[in-house]
Amino acid sequence: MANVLFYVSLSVIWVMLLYHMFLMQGGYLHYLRFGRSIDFREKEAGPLPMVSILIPAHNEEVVIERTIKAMLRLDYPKDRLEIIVINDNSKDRTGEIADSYASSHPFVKVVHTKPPHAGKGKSGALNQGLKHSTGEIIAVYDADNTPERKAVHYLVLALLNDPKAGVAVGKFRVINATASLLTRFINIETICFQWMAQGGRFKWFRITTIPGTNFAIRRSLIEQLGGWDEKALEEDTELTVRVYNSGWHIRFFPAAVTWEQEPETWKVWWKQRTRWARGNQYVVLKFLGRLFSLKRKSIVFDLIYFFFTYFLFFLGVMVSDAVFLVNLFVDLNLRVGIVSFILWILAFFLYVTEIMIALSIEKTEFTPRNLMIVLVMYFTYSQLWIVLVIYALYLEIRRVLFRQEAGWYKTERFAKKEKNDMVS
Amino acid sequence: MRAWSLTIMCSKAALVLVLFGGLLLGGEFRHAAAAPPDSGPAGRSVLVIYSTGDGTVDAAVHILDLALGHFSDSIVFKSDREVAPADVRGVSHLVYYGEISRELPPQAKQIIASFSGPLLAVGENLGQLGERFSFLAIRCEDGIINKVSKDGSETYELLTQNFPVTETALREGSAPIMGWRGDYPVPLFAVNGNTGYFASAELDAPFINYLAEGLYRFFQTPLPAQRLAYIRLEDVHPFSDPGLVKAAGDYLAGRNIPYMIAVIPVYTNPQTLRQYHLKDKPELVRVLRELQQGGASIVLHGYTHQYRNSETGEGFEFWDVLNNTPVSAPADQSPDVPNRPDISSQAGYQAYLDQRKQFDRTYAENRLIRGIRELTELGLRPLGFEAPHYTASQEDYRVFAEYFPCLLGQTQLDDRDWRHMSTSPYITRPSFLHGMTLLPETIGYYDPSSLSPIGDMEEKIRQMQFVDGGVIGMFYHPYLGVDGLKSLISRVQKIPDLQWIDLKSLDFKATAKYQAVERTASSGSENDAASSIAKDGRKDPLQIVLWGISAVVSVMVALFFLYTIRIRLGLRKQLFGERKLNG
Repeated sequence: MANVLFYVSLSVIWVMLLYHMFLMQGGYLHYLRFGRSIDFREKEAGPLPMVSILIPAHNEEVVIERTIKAMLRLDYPKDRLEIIVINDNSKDRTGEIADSYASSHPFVKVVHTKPPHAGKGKSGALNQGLKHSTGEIIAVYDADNTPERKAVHYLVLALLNDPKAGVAVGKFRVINATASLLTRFINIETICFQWMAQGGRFKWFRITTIPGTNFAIRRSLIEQLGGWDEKALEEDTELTVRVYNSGWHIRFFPAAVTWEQEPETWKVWWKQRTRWARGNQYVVLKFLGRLFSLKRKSIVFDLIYFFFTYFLFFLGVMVSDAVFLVNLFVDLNLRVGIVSFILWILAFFLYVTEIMIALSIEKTEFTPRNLMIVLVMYFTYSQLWIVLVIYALYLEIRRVLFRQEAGWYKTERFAKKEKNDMVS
Repeated sequence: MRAWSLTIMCSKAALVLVLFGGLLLGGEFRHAAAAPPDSGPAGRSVLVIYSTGDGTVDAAVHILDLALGHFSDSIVFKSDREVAPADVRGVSHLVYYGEISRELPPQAKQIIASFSGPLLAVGENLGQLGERFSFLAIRCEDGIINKVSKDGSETYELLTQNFPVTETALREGSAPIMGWRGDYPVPLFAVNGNTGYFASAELDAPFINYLAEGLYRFFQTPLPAQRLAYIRLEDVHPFSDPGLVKAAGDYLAGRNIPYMIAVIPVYTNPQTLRQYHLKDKPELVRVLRELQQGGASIVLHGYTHQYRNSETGEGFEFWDVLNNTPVSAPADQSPDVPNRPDISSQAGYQAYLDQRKQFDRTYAENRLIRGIRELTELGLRPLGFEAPHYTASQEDYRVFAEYFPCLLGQTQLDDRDWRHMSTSPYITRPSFLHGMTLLPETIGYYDPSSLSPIGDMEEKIRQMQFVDGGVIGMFYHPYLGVDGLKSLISRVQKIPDLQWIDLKSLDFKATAKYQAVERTASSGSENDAASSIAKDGRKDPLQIVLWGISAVVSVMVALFFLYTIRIRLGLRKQLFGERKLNG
């Protein structure tokens, strides 16, 4: 019995690891090829379409000004650009700051939401912004983002050149990577995520997850979908599934880069990650029931992946750990040979080399210091996931039982201390 | 969304605990498997000086060997006439066995008297062994006992008849095993310091049990806390009913009882002498493989379990029972067993004996090789050997030991008569088995022709429980159906502190010759599917998958490393890298 449990959990774990290995291979191939046709695209593209940039902001006075400034510097014809800041029920100076820019720049608009349409979360704000927008293409940026000058241009190009793509997704990078050990962890994590999960899945399955910021969606598509789901905690994952289900795909185009701020304290990080984990669990539960009626089979695959991650894989880890702990006290007569030790060593090497590939793609990140951090990360940062999933599950169960409504789980911002013009 | 990334990192990290756990478990498992009955056998060196009628090592001395083999891996036998002072060098324990009463040669007396280490005397001639035995007062050299008790217990073992013993009285020391003549106590096993005495020259059962029990005291070995047991499903051959074999195996596996299956790879029809091989019975092979997979240990039970024209399962294989001699001639030849006077010269007789011995050896070896090969080719890996009807010549045991580390059942004690047979109450490694470990069958088998099959075994179970280390070894014929098995098991399970022996976990090393056969069997020209299964017969498929994953991942890790280098080298050519300052 214990042997069976142990083997089953070991198998589940390795199914996941092998899948990730496969994705990293794809990410590497995508890196080699994605840029080849940019020149061609720039030449062949016709007149640029009207773009509306939505920036939902809820108490963002710390960062909103820098973000708006970055938008003003975008390399995109200003007569074809519309910047809409959605000041969602802010209690601070967010609206004021945005208004001051709107008055001096004709293409900047501010939408102030008021109850009952206010404070309903990011989805609600985006839906409000969508109502006031005119662009053929809707781009979305978080209030803490500073996109590179060409970012929106590349997103639009990606959509123009790929008629089957409903959404184009760029890459995001961590602006405050050197602020603390935590942001160093997050920096490595996000780089790895982009190339492995985004790049790898796009390469093999044409699947990309919308990352909440730095993406562009066709207006026709978002209207057809009826906007964002205001009940979803993790509106981006939810939207991803619906985009695929309506027959479009999402293109990952890492040339479009945005820089964003990541949590600098563990407390903030914990809240943000809890929100993501709960959001993904919500999506899995929402779509699992009608898994096989979904149109696009590739997204089914992705949902199964999520299901694996948050339920099966999680159970696998818990069971194998439990078996191990029980065995410390009671002899379960497990028959595990040397091969499990070898697998453990390999898992570690796999982890390190996968991250090395991702880091080496980014010019500035392949440093001895980061490599040291990777080694530490394996035993520390990464282990927090177990605790996180348990906590998120607990919260999600409580939500279902007590019918609590979703609201803003805002990530706290940090004022920039130095190097204010990272993006000039 | 980005929760993705977190899980990617973490999925691997979680393995730390999982696999580190695996490592520890693996170590613990190996440790458990290596544990011998007690820690001492390898460290003890025993010299036995014996007094037998013709001065040779006879059946009785081999019984003593069986008893001592539990406590020492090194036992040397010398007759009282031959023993020399040099023989005692390096000896840790000295045993004297007087099978017959006679005047001992002075040199033997001298050697025994001057030995200062632990000294045990068994049987006759106690009065000639010197001062160390003065803790016993000899009352009568022709005493008798008719019952036995242990450690001052009120309960007795009643003997079936009066048995002769040397009757003594204790002056000092103690008598953990006491014999009784009516109500009169006679020390049966007495100890005083590091000197011991066993009063019976007769060692056949049940006396080997009393001796065995006493030896724990003599060797100062702690008594085992658990009572070992094992069960074999017996005589499974190509015509066995797969359903019944499976039912019996499933029943035991379902109760978490490790068990063995004694397999005979060839069935010989006694009328036509036509042979049927196991590989011709795929259904049975499948069942056996499944059972092996599920925990059963396969034991080779002869190659045909017959010789000449007897039937498989009935006939003797390693003994010419017709002539009551070792197998010495091909089955189709008429036995030619001359008595010594028929051959004129001593040299001629010796040559004749050597020739017979050589035939016996070649015959036995061929059968073992074929048996091992035919089983391993089918993915069945015999871990031990059990001689048909437990009969084998002394030369055969030498051959068996070259192939198997483990022997099951009972042992034939000499080459004179196959009925000279004994088993040991506990696991033992006597010198006449040349390194093989004997897992003794002690309580017989379920005999459906008896009115009370279980009741018949009852007495033997009780006798075994008398010995603290006594193994409850038994077998069952699966063709009887599973009901008898159920009642047998439910009776045995009532024995307190029972622990079933799992042959696989005893971690016996396959011998070089066995491995050679196994290799040729798995790489041989036999049909491919069967041989590929045989190659990995011992590993379960999941292990193979895990090794496969290891290989694939190793390759990918190497590739990823190369990618990293390639990316770094090619970075200058990169057109669309990060533009940190002027994006």
